Amino acid sequence: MLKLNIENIRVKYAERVVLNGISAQFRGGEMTSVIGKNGIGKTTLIKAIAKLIKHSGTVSLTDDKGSVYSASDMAYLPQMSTSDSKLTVFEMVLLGLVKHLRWRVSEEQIEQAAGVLKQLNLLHLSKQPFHQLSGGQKQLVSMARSLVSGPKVLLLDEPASALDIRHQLMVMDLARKYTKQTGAVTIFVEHDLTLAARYSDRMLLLDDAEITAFDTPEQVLRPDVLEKVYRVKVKVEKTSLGSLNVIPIEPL
Amino acid sequence: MVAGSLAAFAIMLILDFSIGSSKMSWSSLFHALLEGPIGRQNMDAIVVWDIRLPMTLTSVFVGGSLAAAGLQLQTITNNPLASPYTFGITSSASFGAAISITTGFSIAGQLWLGTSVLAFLFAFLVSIGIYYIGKMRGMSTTTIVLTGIMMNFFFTALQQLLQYRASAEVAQIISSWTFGNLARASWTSVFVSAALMACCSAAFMMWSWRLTALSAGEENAESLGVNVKKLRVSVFFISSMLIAGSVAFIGTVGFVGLIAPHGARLLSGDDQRYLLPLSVLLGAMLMLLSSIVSKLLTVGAVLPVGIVTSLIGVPFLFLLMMRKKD
Repeated sequence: MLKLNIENIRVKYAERVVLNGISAQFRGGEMTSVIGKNGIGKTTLIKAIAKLIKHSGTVSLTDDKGSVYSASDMAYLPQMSTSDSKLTVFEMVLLGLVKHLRWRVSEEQIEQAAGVLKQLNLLHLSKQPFHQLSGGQKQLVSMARSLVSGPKVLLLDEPASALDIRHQLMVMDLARKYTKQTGAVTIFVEHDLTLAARYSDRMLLLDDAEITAFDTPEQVLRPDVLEKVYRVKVKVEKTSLGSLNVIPIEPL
Repeated sequence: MVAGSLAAFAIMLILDFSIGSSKMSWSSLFHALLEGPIGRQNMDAIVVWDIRLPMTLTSVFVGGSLAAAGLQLQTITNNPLASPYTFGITSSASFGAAISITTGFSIAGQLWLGTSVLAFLFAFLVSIGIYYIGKMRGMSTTTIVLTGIMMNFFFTALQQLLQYRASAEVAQIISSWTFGNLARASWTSVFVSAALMACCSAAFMMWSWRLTALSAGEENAESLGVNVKKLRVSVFFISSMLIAGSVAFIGTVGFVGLIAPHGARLLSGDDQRYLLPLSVLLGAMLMLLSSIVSKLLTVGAVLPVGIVTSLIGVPFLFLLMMRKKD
């Protein structure tokens, strides 16, 4: 099983400490959501894990056999793309392999891109320009781009925001299916606590540059914890699907 | 589309080569070509090898270079208005040339060489200046674009100042330089611009997928593991070399670097593997077409090509925009 260890991650923007020595261990085959208030450092944390921003502390990815992986085994999906790129869907997905692409794209790489598009039922969109897609389709294509290299760690920044409920479920189901099938470590940032709870094996709650809670949804989404962090009175109910529903009542 | 573009390019190449102030029949052109560059005796061969070929080939390489540089400046700044001209690189070259013309600066006794070298140096130094100012602010696109615009105004003003204070005769020479004139083409300009275009385009082609990723958005490219800052620095440096090398010999040629990439993008999309060669081809075609028109407009003399590129460029882009509404 894969293990992603982060130790003492510290990030400073100018004089402001955004993350103050964050340490945690994430397990392969598990989905972890990162939750917390706006501007608290959720995106910063997953960008630090992806080694996209300067930080102190260590990030290590190992498996049971002791193999060590690098940042190139991770895929980071930024917040929903507003790109008006005229690239076709197929070219956009190929970009997921950008570090290995040469002028002439190999048969194997073409098959990889076609394979992931087929899995996601997007093959019919292959020749469509990316900018002509709907928001939901764009996000699915962006997910395909993240998955095409078969990453060991999937880092998703608000993958379901700005999507209609159908596409929310499609994108999140896709992430869960990939995580369970491949044993990858998936960490996603999400504001919608109900949606986050539904797709999380564990949740990591950030506040004041530190981890306030890192546990199962039932342990993290307790009204007393949420009221203290979000300063909102909430009601937490169990849904018929077995997941939790967080209902905000009023700001405190 | 590829075959059509290449055919159009070949026709323009032949037309530009065949038109000139000294009227020559197709057969005498052909014979003069066959005579070769060495040991040529008759007047036709001298015209073909010393004037026509250097002018036509310089058009091709300068047009291609400006288009490639313009495309990459647009890609790294994510700004459709970026071009050698709007970045002030060409106006700084003009200023360098104006200093050389005013002071009579020469190298090895050659005034043209002094002018070319100073134009190149100024274009290059200003590019480095823009780069360092941009780097101080984290290579943000806004900083690079604003610095470029500032440089453009600054060096245009300096060149106008020199021109204003110069004698009428010198002012006329400076003014003629700023128009971009293929009459200054030589085998030196052919070899330098060809070598620069070949080397720089090869580098751009090597990074074509990374540049494609960058054109899809900075954050997208970064998330895919592209070192955006390093890519921007390298591409900016190479583009500056291309521009400096292009304008140093024949003077300022506006619009090709802005318009050719837009035309190519409308035809081929954003994949740099096709966009770059097509931009280069369209840039070369635009220069050839301008050269043909400039020769036809003024019989017995050559109208500066820099004036014609803009006159041709606007309807050219307009036609392309009308053809594809996307």
